[in-house]
Amino acid sequence: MKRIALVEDNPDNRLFFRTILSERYEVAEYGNGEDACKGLQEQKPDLVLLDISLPDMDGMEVLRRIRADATLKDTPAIALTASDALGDREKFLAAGFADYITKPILDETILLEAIEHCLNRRGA
Amino acid sequence: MSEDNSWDGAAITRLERIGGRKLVREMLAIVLEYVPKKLEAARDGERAGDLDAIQHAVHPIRSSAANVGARGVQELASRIERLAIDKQPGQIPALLRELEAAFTRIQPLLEREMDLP
Repeated sequence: MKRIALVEDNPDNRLFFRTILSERYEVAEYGNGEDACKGLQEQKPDLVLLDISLPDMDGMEVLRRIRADATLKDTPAIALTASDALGDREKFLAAGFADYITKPILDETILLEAIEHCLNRRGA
Repeated sequence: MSEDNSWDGAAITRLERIGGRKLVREMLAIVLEYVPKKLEAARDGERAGDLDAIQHAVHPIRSSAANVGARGVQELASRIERLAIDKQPGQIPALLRELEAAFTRIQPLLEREMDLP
């Protein structure tokens, strides 16, 4: 089973994502950026779902740390954000995210397809 | 489901489709406990004149409200978040009172939904 790290501070979002993902993937959850940066080094996930708005450090900073870690730098990350402002997608892709998903998730198949696409691309 | 137009029943239907009544109940239970804490954090931010604290408090309210279809709460939290980001504090106190009132109105509806079999 592929391992997914879910970095999300909102507890109801974590429950929602866990419900969608846990039958297909092994999911480890982190409620803030600091815990995520520590946990990811042990978990070595296949993919990171990363909330952009976190209470301690934002998702962009977490991604910078992932990319700076030799053992994690190639791990694909999908940005989770409540914002759908014009230019967000380009901003997140330019920052190094593999994809970008807006919350709330209205259709879980979009999320699952984005995850599979990233995992398959990594495995290719 | 309520006829209140600040309530979007489709959100509950979506949760039920994904995880059944169990997910609906668990999501509502979390939101009913979590949002009041964030409202308190927003009040603390207001008292301290700390716009970043207000922004960080209302952002998850917006997200939680959207998850359970509390549209009025979601929209007010979104407006406050935008004002806090834009460093325009003038309207924030009045909108925070509106936000608290909107949550107080929707709370019994969420509790009723949570108690459905």
